Amino acid sequence: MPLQSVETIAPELPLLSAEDLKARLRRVGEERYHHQHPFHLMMHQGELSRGQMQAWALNRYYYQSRIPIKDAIILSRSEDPDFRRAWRKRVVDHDGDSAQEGGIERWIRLAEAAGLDRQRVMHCDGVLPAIRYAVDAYLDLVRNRSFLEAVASSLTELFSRELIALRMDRLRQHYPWLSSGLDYFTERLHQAPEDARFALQYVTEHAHTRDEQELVIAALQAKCDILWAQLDALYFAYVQPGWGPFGWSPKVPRPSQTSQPRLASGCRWGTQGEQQVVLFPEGMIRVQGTGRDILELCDGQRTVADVVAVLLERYGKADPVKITEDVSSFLETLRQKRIVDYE
Amino acid sequence: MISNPLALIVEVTHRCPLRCVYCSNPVQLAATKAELSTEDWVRVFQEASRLGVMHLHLTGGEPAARTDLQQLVAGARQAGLYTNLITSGIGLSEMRLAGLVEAGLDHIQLSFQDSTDEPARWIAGAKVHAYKVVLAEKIRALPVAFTVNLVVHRQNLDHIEEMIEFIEQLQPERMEIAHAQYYGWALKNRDALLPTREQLENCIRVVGAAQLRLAGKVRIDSVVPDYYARYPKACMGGWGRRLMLIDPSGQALPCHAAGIIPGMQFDNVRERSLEWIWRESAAFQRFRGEEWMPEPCKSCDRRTEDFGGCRCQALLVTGDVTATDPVCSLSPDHHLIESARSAAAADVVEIAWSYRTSMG
Repeated sequence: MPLQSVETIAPELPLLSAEDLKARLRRVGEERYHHQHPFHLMMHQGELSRGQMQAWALNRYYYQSRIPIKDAIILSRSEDPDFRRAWRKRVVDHDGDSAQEGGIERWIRLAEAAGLDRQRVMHCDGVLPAIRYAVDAYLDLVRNRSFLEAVASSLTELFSRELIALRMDRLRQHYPWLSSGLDYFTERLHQAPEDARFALQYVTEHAHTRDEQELVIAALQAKCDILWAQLDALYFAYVQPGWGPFGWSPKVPRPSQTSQPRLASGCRWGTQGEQQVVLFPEGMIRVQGTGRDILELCDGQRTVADVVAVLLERYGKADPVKITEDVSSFLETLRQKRIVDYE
Repeated sequence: MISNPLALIVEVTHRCPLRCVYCSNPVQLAATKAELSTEDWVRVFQEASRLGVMHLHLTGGEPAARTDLQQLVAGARQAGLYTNLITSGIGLSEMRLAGLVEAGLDHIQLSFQDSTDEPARWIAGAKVHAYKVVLAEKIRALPVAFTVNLVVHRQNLDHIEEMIEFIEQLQPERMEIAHAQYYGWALKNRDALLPTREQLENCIRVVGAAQLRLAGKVRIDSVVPDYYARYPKACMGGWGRRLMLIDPSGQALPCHAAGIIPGMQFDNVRERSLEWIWRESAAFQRFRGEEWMPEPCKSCDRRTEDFGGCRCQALLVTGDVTATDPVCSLSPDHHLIESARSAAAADVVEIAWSYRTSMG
C-alpha cells in the first residue's frame, strides 16, 4: 500500500502595510456599513413617516444604552493604564458626568422631539426582539473574542462622520419637527473621528501577524452586520411587510396640531330615532358624549389645536395636554376604521 | 319587542351580463317583466326609511341593467337612506356614474373576480376585467366612497397577495375579501371553489399583514369562510332581526337564499307594507327567536350570538331547515361539512363550472 499522504501547503500571507490594512477596512465600510441600508436611504429621502421615525428612535435607544456598557467591558479587559485612560472618555461621552450630559440623554431628547415619552423610551419594552439580539451580540463580541477584535469592532466609527453629517442635513430638511433633538449628532461629529483615530492606531500597532490583521477586518465586518441587522428588523417591522412588534395593532399616523380632521369619504351624519349616528358604507357608529363633541367639530377646517381649544372652553378646568392626547387617540382610532381622515 | 330593520337589500333586477360561478342569486332567477316599477321601488324606500332603516344596498343581478337606476338612487336619498350600489360596473359609463353621484349615491362597491384578465374571464364567464379597471379609475375620480370587493376561493387564493396589490392600485377606501358562500350557484360549484385549509391559513396571514401595512389608508374587511369556522355565522344578523331583502318582483325575504325553503310564503311589497311584512308576516316570524331551535342550539350559550346559524345552509346540507347549521362543530351533521373539507384537501378537482344563467 503506497502511503497516501495529504498535505496542505498554505503560503504564509504577507503582513499588510498600515496603508493596506486601512484600505481593506475602508472597503468593508463601503460594502457593509449601514449607510447603504434601505431604511436609511428612505430616511434620507424623507420617505419615512413620523411613526417610522419614532420606531427608529425608540429601537436605537437600546443600542445607545448598551454603548457605555460595551466600552466598560473593553475597559475592564485592558491591562494598560494608558489605554484605559483613553478609552474611559467613551464611557463619559455616553453616560455624561457632573460637567456635561451624555449621549444617552441626548438620544432621549431626540426621541422626545420625535414625540415619544421619555419613560417609555427608557423602559425599552417596545424594542424589537431582533434589535435586542443584535445589540446583545455586540456585547458578546467584546466580552468573548480577543481584545484586539473587541477594539476593532468599534472601527465603524471610521465611517460614521460622513453619515452623521448627511443625516443631520436630511433630518432638518425632511423632519423639521426633529430639529430640536439633534444635539446627539452634533457631539458625535467630533467625538466619533477622535475615537476612530485612536482605535485605528491601536489595531494597526497591535495586529502583529496577517492572521491578526484578518481578525481585525472580520471584527469590523461583524460589527457592520450588527448595525445592518438592526435596520433589517426595523424595515421588516415598520416598512415592509410591516409585521410590527409584539402586541402591536395597526397604527395610523397621529394627527398633528395642524391636522384638519374631517369625516372620511363615504361617511356622513344621520339620525336613528333620537340618536346621532355616523353612517359609513356597511354600518354605522353611535357616537355619544365627548366622542360626539369631538367629531362634530371635525369639519375639515378646524385644526386639532382648534378642536382642543373649543373643548377646553367647554369643559373649563380640563388639562390641555390630556385633552390633546384624548382627541388625538380618538381620531387615530377612527382613522383606522376609515371614519375620519386627516393629513 | 321586535327591533327595526337596519338595512334593506334590494335586488332591483336579476339581469346580469356576468355569469359568475358563485353568484348569490337564486338558481331560479326572476323574469324581467316581473320587476317592480320605479314608483314601487321609491315607495318601498320611503317605507323603509319610516321603519328605521338606515342603509340601502342596491344590488342585483347587475343594478345598472335598470335604466332608471339614477331615479332609484335619487329616490333613496330623498327618503334619507344611506345609499350603496353593489355593482360589477358593467353598464356604467363615466356619465352615468357622475349622474348617480349627483343623485346622492354615497358609496360604490365594485366587484372584481381576479387581478388579471384571463382568470377573471374564467370565473365571470364574460370578458369584462379590463373594462372594470378603467371604470375603477373613473369612480376614484368622483366624490364618492369606493370599496373593491373580491370573492376568493380555491381557484384564486394561491395568488391572494397579488390580488391585494392589484386592488391597492385602484385606491379604494375599503377592500372586502369575501370568501365564496355556498348557496345557489356557488353550491353547484362547491367542489371547485372550497379552499383547502392551507390556502385559508395563508390567506389569513396575508390579509393580516396587508391590514397592518395599509392601516389608515385602506380598510380591509375579511371574514373566515364558515365551512372552516368552529361556530356558524349569525346569518344576516339573525333571521328577521336586522335585514330585509326584496327580490326583483317585490317579494320580501329574510335573506338571499330563503326562497329555496319549501313551504315558505313570501309576501310582496306590492300588496303589503314593509312594516307589516317585517312585524307580522309568517316568513319573517318563522325563525325569529328561539322557539324553533333544536338541540344543541336550544341549550347553547351561543344561541343569542349566532341564532343557530344559517337556515338555508341547514336545509341545503342536511335537508332539514330546522337543523343546527352543520358548519357548527357541535352539530350532529357536522360530518357533512368535514367530508366537504376533506374532498377539498384532495389534489385534483376536475372543473366543469355551472355558470350562472345569463340574462339581459
